Amino acid sequence: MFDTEAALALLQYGDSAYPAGGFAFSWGVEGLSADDLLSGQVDLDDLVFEHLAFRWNTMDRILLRRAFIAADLDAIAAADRTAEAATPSAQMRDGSHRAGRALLGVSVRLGGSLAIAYRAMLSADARLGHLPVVQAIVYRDAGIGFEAAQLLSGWTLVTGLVSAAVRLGVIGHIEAQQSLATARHVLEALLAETPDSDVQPSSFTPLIDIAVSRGPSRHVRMFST
Amino acid sequence: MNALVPLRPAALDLSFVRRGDRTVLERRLFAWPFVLTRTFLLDPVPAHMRTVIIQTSSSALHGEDRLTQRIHLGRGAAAHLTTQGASPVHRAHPGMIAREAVDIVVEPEAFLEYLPEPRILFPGAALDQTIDIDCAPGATLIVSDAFTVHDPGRNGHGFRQLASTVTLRFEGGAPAMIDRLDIAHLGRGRFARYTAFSSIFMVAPLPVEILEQLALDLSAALAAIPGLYGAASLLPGNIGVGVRLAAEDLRAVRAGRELSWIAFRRLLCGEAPASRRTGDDLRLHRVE
Repeated sequence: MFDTEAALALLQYGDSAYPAGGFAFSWGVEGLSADDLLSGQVDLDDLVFEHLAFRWNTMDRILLRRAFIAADLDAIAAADRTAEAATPSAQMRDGSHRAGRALLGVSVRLGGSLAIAYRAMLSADARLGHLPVVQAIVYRDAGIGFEAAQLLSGWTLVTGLVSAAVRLGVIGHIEAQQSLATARHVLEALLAETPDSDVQPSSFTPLIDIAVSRGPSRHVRMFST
Repeated sequence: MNALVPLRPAALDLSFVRRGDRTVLERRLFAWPFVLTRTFLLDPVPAHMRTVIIQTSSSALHGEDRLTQRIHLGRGAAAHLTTQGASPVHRAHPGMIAREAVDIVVEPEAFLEYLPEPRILFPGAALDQTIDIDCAPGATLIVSDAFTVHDPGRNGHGFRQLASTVTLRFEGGAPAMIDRLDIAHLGRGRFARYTAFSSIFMVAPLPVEILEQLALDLSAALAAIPGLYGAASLLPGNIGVGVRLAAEDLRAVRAGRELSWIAFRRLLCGEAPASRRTGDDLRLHRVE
């Protein structure tokens, strides 16, 4: 049975207009494009696949789950510190921090109780505030279930990548919709399988890591990542 | 799975200590397939750095292998460890996976260079490797991990699984850095052209400004190596610099790894290390 209330919550939190600063991050789209490793829709679709299959599904999704089922703030912070330690690239860490803290700030302003309590911990520990952990906090505050939270986390990554590609002129608006449709199938397939409960976060996105890490060497760029 | 295939535990246990102006290999225990011969003093600076080439009798890994290494550097000791050459990881029977665990302890003021040659993953290969490093504050180390895939029949058959974890902690605490991958295939499309990869972790008690500059210099220098895509950045907690390398072949990855090693050594010691390598003239690429 169609759950109208849940669907509307997904539309609100998955909307690219949700004021969480997502527009500032390209997660490698800009860098790979500048380094002539990404041009056009086929390349973008491969990049989205790489992000979803080799990082989001094995790293972000695992951390999101840990934070989502965490019994208290300390357990959430433990997942956050794992995110910090498991992200060797400084620029990837910085992007995850900035995106996470921006999202948390919105939830605090909206009165999210868990978000308010967790933000108080952030000032004492600079390692905290990674995006997938904050997503868990925000979606818990919003009353969104875990299955929907995973969907939102994956889908907002996809829309961020595709949006960045449009803004950089890598693809046009029609191609963007085609890429989104392709990504829907990738995300659906990944979500159909549940990772083991004891799996450790991992990732293998070397080209993306390198493209983002080369950011400080670039003279001009539009995006933080 | 062949239930009659025995698991093959093997161990290498090395302990280096500083005695006066020398580093001494105080404990050297090894069992088949590991082989150790003589050690070397190759560098003017640090003159006490002892070089060891870790060898195995077959130079390859098989699905039933269970290899363990324990490496200990006492206070003030210096050691450079490498392997005899790139090591093939052969096809593992279904359900089998080769495992190698390396435990490293680095005490204060010690200096470790652990730079094994890359793995070559053959079709059907399955490998789970871990490098656990327990480091004292004030210690210095560079550790690398590298692999490539090889499909001699060019029939599109890839490796079955690669899990690799590098964990660094200080004095037994929570991990300060974890680099973990667990994959059954590489990327696709344009990304699939890249089949050789390396990660390098350089840890040193240096001011963050110096580490940042090293990362910037390295990123610029790596960009000048033909066929290599690479970058360097600060590791979590500003404990050092991490490097990622990707290329279509091992040669470019080796060049990037050599460049990173030389840059780190020059920063710490004021001069490049003596060559351990043959073949590639990698000193063409230096970070000045």
